[in-house]
Amino acid sequence: MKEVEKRLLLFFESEMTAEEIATLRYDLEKTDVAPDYQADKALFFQLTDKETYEMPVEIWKDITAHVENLAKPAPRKIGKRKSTLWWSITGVAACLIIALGTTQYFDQRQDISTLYTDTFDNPAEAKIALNSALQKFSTTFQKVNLKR
Amino acid sequence: MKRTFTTLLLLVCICMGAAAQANWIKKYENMKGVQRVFVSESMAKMASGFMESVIPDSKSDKDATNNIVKNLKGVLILTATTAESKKSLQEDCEKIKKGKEYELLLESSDDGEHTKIFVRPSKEKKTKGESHFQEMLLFSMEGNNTALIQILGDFTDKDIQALTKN
Repeated sequence: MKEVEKRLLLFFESEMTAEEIATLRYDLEKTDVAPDYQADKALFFQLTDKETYEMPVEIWKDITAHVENLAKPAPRKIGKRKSTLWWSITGVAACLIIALGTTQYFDQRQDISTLYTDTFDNPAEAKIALNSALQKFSTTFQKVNLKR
Repeated sequence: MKRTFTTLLLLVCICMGAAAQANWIKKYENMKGVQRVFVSESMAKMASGFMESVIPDSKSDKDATNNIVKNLKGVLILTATTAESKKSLQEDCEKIKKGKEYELLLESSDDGEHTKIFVRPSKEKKTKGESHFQEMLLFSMEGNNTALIQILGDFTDKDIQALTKN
């Protein structure tokens, strides 16, 4: 395999610089290649023919703009983060309200349980029970006062 | 997300725990060996005039008792008659003493009678220069008798002080 044929293979593997391509084109114009490489040589000349493959300016602009867009850093998703935080806060607040409401509900249930229903129908009997309870408090306080 | 969920679960557990703590007395509702006497706010007001028989000679004490009755929501008296119920009351007394919900107002031991009085500060009512209490508890352990007296209402430290005077 000739050296120029090796370089032709390198071209199709996209491993050549613009200068190397120019040198290869110059060499291929002067050198003949083996019949197996004739098709490659013809394709090379087609691909590197400036007049045939010059990119239209508008397409260049579009491609450049697209590449620049891709190169830009991705915008931070501030809105989404704010939204997540907002949902977390409202979630915590809602759970607190539910938990406190449940606590309050159970407290109220305690108050209306049978434990706190009147034992007496007669106020006179209730008076005796009340007397006894308050007397107990009063006596205890007085005993402690006397000790002091 | 997991962290938020765990935090919420913890908050709910704390609140439920607090609710369970507040309901400690409810277990005596159907406990065997516990005699229950309850006088409601309306019944107490119907039995007005009973203060004179408590402390008939002192005007200030009468006023103090009046204040207590005026702001009374109910009086519950539980008397334990079995060893199990007595033990339960004594355990609750110790729990309350160690807990933060109630304040130990006084503790007295006299002739084998051990008495402890606790007060529960009011969460809602607050007046400058006065402490408000929503509950007073008296645990009395004397020989075979163990009893709990719970007074519910809205009392100030001045009402309690006046009650202690002779």
